[in-house]
Formats: sequence, structure tokens, C-alpha cells
Amino acid sequence: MEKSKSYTTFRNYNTEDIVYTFLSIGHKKILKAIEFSLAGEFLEHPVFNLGFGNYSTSKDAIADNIVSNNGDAFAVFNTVLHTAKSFLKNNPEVIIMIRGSDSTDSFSDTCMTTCTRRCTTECKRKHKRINIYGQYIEKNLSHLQWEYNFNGSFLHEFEEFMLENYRTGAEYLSLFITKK
Amino acid sequence: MKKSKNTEPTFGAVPKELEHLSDKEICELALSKLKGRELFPESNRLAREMLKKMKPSSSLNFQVNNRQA
Repeated sequence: MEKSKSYTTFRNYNTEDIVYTFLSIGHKKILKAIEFSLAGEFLEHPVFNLGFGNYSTSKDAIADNIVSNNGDAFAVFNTVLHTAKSFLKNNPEVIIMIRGSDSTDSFSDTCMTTCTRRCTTECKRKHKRINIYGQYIEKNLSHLQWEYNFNGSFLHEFEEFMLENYRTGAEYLSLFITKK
Repeated sequence: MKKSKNTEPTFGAVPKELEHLSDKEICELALSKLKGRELFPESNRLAREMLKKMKPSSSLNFQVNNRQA
């Protein structure tokens, strides 16, 4: 599988939130949607949450918790990254926030009821998505750091989240990406 | 025991009735259907909640490009 392949995206220009669609072409053709939605501010900079999932035209519904197994994971991941780079290029003053849909307690509660892995303490599938982004950052940090800043958040005390400079090997609940 | 074949269609798979359209037409059709909608409300809600409780660490060296594109 070619690791640098990505798909052509199509963008909606007329809405407040930025939406891209593209087709994942593996075993099947699967429609994907990416959204950058304004979630608030951090240190006076607008923060956009990156949402990503499958769009079913027949159900007219979106799902961000589907594992498609379409044989083109690298191409899909690269496509999402390309839209993030493009979004930052056009909006260099904003922050992109990335969270995983599998990082919630409800994910592990649901997973435990159907999973065959028999996890006892911590769900092994939890945080898998945010970790994929982290692994990509670490693998490509030497050239990415010339153009982008990376920060990660973790649960601190009193249910507060602490944002720090990205540390290699650390596990985070969310990632912040900004353009230098 | 013979395994039963999973016939559940993949969520988001392009349905037969759209197969005659080009990739561009399918994506643009989806964009038109999604126009003006919040696509990931739960993800956005969690992001907003997290952001409200987010503090910078004392060592945070936070850099944002302040130039408008």
C-alpha cells in the first residue's frame, strides 16, 4: 500500500463551519466527511474541533465511531491531514483541536459489552484514534516542527485539563495544532 | 459450525442508486445534503466542555501565527 497516497476532497464554502467530503476507495467506495467546527477560544485564539466520520446518504446520517476496514487507512489518514494543513494555511491564526471519538468513558463502557479482548482494568481500544495522530506526529516531527506547533492535553487535578508542549511518548486526550 | 456471513452494508458505502455518478458528483451531492448542519454535535460538545476546563501548563510555550491569510 502506498503510504503517501491521499484522496481529492471537495469543500463547502458557504457555511460557518468548514466541511470537506471525499470518497475512500478500497474494498468499497465509502463517503467520508470532515468538519472544522468552532468550539471556543484558548488564550484568545479561536479553536476549531476536527470532526471526521462516514456519511450515509441513504440514512442521511453521520457516524464517527465506525471502523470501516476498507484497506486504505493510510490514504484516508493522509487526506484528513491534508485538509488540516489546508485549513491552517488559510487560517493561520486558529488552533485545530483533535480528539478521538474512542477516548470517552461511554466508548469503553460500550466496547466492554461486545469486545472479545477481555480487558479487565482499561479498555485496550480506548484512545486508539488520538494515538494514531500522536504516532504520526512523532514519526514526522523532524520536518513538521518547522511549520507547525504541537501541544497535548492531559487530565490534571479537579477535572481540569492541562495543555503542555508536545512530549514524545506521552499519551494525550487532545492535541492542539497551530501554524508557526 | 459454519460462520454466518455479515450482510450488513458498511455505513457510508455508496449505494447502488448513486453508482452511476462520478466521485465528484457524489461528494458534491453529500456537501449539498450536509450544508448548514452541524455534523458532529457530540464531538463538538465534548470539545467545548474540554476547552472550558483547559489550562496552560507553566512551561507551555504556545505559538500561534497571528497573521491573517
